Amino acid sequence: MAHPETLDRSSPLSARFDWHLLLMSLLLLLVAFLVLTPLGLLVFNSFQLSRPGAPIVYGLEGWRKAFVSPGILQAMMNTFTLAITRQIIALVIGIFIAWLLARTDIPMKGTLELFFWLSFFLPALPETMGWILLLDPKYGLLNQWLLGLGLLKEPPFNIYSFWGIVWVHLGGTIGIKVMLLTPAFRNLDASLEESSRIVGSSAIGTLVRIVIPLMMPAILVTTILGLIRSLEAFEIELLLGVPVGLHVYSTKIHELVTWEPPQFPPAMALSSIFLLVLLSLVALQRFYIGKKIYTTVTGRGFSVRPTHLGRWRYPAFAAVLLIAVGTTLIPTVLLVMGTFMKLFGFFNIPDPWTLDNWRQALSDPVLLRSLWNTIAIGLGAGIVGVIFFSLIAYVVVKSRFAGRAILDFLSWLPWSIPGILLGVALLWTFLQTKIFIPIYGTIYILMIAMVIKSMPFGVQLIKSVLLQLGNDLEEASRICGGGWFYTYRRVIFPLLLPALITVALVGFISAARDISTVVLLGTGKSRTLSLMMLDFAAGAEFEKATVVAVIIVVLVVAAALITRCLGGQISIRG
Amino acid sequence: MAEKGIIKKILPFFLLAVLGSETDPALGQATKPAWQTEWNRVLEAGKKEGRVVAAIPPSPELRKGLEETFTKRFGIVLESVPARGGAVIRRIVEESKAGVRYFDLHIGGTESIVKGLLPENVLEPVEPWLILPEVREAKNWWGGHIWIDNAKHFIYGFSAYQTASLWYNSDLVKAEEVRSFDDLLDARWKGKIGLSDPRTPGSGASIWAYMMLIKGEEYLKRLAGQKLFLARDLRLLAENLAKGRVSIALGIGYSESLPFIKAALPLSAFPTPKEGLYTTGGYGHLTIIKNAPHPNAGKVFVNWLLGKEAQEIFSKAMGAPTRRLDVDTKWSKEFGVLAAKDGLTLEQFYRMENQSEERIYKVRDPAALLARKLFD
Repeated sequence: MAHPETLDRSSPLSARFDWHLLLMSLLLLLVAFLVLTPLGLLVFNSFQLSRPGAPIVYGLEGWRKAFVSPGILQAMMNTFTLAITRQIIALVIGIFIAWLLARTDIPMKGTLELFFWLSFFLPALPETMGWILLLDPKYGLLNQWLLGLGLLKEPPFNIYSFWGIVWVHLGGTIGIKVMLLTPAFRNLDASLEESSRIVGSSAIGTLVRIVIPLMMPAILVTTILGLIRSLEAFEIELLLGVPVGLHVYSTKIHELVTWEPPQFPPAMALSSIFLLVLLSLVALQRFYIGKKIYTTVTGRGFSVRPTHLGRWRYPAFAAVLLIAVGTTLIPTVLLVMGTFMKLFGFFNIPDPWTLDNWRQALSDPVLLRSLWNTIAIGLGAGIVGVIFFSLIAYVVVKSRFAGRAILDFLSWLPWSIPGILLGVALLWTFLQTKIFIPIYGTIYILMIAMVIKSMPFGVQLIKSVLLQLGNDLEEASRICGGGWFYTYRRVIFPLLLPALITVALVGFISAARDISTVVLLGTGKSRTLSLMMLDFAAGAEFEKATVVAVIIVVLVVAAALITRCLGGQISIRG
Repeated sequence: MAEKGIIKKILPFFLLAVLGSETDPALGQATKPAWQTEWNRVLEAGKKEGRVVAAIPPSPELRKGLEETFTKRFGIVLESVPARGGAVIRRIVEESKAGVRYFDLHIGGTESIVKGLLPENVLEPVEPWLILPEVREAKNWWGGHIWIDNAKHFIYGFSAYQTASLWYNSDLVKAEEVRSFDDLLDARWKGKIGLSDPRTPGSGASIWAYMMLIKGEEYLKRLAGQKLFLARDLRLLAENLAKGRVSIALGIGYSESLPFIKAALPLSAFPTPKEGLYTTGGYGHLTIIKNAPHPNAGKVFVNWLLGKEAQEIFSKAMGAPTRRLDVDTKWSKEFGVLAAKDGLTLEQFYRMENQSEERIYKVRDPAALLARKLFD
């Protein structure tokens, strides 16, 4: 964290400016309201035991039922082992790839980085179906081909397994790590690495002993975000784990919520574990970062010379390309292929290929409206989120505001609520808070919901980049006569831009893909593409659902390309 | 001369009749039945309201069919919200409690309605909304008017059928190998039976509850011992059956099997087992939300929904044959769906159903509890 004493005279946010203090207090109150209201309602209702229509009764039975339900301990163990396994693998690979893309002379960096962004964009259901097509133990195409070679007696791959679930998740998990770490790695002054090389350290030694410790805030944030999301994941587990009795925490919560009537008390009780894990991780993060300084961008000049890999340049490129192809290209090809098939995965039926899926999806009268709503909600959530999250992050990192630690902690809390429960919590919040009633049912309520959902990610990513920026940059601007707003606009904002763009883009993607929140808050008029996709999937029209999924992916890729053109590749010029 | 005399005698009466009908509106309108007057009033008021909001089952074909046809016919916008029962029911209840009026009516399966909407006192009786004789008169419906709730006011069932819930891969199994539910306990089917997860509401829960009704708990325990392949995604279950990963599947239905049947894949429905199969209305149940924001437009929609045109759309889109006697439903047999009016007696329908309020609490609930005990 920044040393408060360095902000004493130059900081615009020191205590003598009462109106700044008022604004920061209002910001704290707003965040507290948006975050604590849904969480509080969920906790409160977890003690409400009565059946629908019956007089209200409170008690602990829901909590008791949650933790003594059969299979819950095994589900908990499965959840943690799956999450930790894939996070460790993805972290090691993600750090290495981010370093290669941001700090070395590996060729085709931009294209490779885009591949990894794409892997994060792919929707889970069609991606999983694609991997089933390849790796089903009995009928997977890859298994059949390998068995056909005559070298093996048993199919080597089984997608319906622990490692099958890890594999399918890896693409998105590595993707998000590369997305988040690469901008942070770019903000590293190369002179630090050069100094390490001068004293005899190798490239890998420099990575391990210089780069990674300096990148710790970003790495920790990425790890925590990844771990929490892994703990809450359930779509892939539902498809691959349930048939073989491999349950995870979230499939248990999902089951409880789909009971008739929904069992919110035990579901909420189970999700309290996420809150405990989140609190522990955040505490660890704050303890580790503590009073250390992670400034890598100062006013003393900045070097961007890449590390030369020499003879390892092309082998490294091949390795990254292989990972990109495996985690991105293959599922994308399968996804697109599925849109042209009468029955996904069935190549031996008469006339397996068709344009009908596209024809019917594109001629659906709600398509244009859904597309417009998706863009509007995504843009709104992205832009509002960026402004809101950057304000929060700035106050947490750069101010002396007494409530900044609470603000930081509150910004994590939306991720303590699993996605399948957050939709209900937000529904309760918006219906029971009169201020929201005038906009209930409109796309604006969906924008607010998406902003709340993506708050942890947005705040923490911007925060990790702000920690890299030395205070001398702002001080220099002050000395030259720049006010706070001028300094923010001309000095801080350009340095934050890559992170802001990533946050806006991820906000856009979340809004485009979200189902659990939209289904409870959306109306016929505010229908999104994700709801249209759900419509097709629920009606067993999987192929048409993949057409909508491809449209969502194209939309998101277009947004990514536009943001990259606008400045996603902006890095600090030496 | 005599003719002139007759005309003179008749003319006053003639004039009286014409003038009387011109000057007294009641006389002029007496030829119109009361329902017509009410319908005209409702239609005009509905057009002023401009739209009706209905929660419907998730089906793009249904959504398109209903929205386009209704709006074209009446000039009133149908804003449909497709969603699975549980999610939308929760929303309807919470909105009602908060005084937010958005939904006019809900069409869906009975379990979520009976357990989610009925006890919360958010429903209005359906009958006052039925205006047109073709809809209101019981003689137009097989079995008359069928109500799901015990009070027989709030949940109207407009579909009734028996769906083939036992399917097999005809490359691996012969139809005659399973003639009874008892045959499923044969050791050769161990690890080869797929089941739509009965722990969550849906067709899997329906077949599971029916088996509990006719065969009892012990049977289900033995069936669970067959290492069943449980799937929550019905499309995936149908796919696994088509690929031969499982040889028999319980709980898939019309929507899931249709694409595979059309692609000439070896999916077939077993003939009805000797114990019979459960009867149901599927998603074909109508409820009216209390204090509907567009009551007149809603009435127009309800009367159209329960009429011939909309019932044809619904039956075809959902594979849920209607009870309307003037709608052809024989086509559904090809896809393993037997319309109740094409092959069952009313007694058979009631005996084999597990979707009414009573059966939900007495049969489905205990069956779901047992499923959780066995599979958790």
